[in-house]
Amino acid sequence: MNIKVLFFGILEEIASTHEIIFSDIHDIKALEKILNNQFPDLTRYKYLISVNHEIVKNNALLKDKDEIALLPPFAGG
Amino acid sequence: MNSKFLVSGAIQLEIVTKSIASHSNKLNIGAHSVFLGQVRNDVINRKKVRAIDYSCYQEMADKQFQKIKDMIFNKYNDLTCMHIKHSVGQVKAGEISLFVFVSSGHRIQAFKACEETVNLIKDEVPIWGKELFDDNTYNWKENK
Repeated sequence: MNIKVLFFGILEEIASTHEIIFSDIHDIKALEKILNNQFPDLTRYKYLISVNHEIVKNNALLKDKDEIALLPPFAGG
Repeated sequence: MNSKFLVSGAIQLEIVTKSIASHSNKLNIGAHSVFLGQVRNDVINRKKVRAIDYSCYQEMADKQFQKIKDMIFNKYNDLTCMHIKHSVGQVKAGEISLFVFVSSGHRIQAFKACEETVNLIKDEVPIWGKELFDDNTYNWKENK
C-alpha cells in the first residue's frame, strides 16, 4: 500500500519537499514516528494532520492511496 | 484558478460593485454585509511587510469554504446569498485578500453571519501567508 504525505507552509521548508510517497505505513502514529526520524526539526512545530481533507485528532488507520497532510496553523484572511 | 472561492493575486475592487449590482433583482434582500480583508504593512523585527504570498491546500480549502457556507446558511434562516473570495499568490500591502459578501432580508443576520464567516475562514481554512519584506527575507504569518 502507498500513502501520499503533503507538507504545507513552513513544514514544506522543513521537509524540503511538498510531497512524499510512503509504503506500508498503517497508522498515523507510525507515520509520525517515521517523519520525526527523517525530519527531526518537525518536532519543534505545531501542526494538525488531515487524512483525505479531514482533520484527525487521534491515531487513525491508513489505507492505500490515502492523502495525509501536515498543516501548520492557518493564517488566511 | 479552478475554484469557486480562491482567486490568483489581489481581489479587484470592482467585485464589490459587481456583487451589489448582481443582486439588485433579488427584491427580498434588505441588507448586504461586506467584509474586505486588506494586507497591512505590519512591522516585524523592524522590517516592514510589503506583501503577503498566500498558499493553500486547494482541495481541502474548497471543501472547508463550502462547509462554512453550508453551516452559516443552516444557522441563519434569513440569509439569501453568500459569496467568498480569498487570494492565493502575492497580494501587496494595501490590496484586498479576502472578500465576504452576505445578503439577508434584514440587517442583523447579515452583520452576524458576515462576522462569523470571516472568523471561521481564519480558523478552519488551510491557507498560509508568507509576509515578504523589502530586503527579500520573509516571515510566516500567524493569525491573532
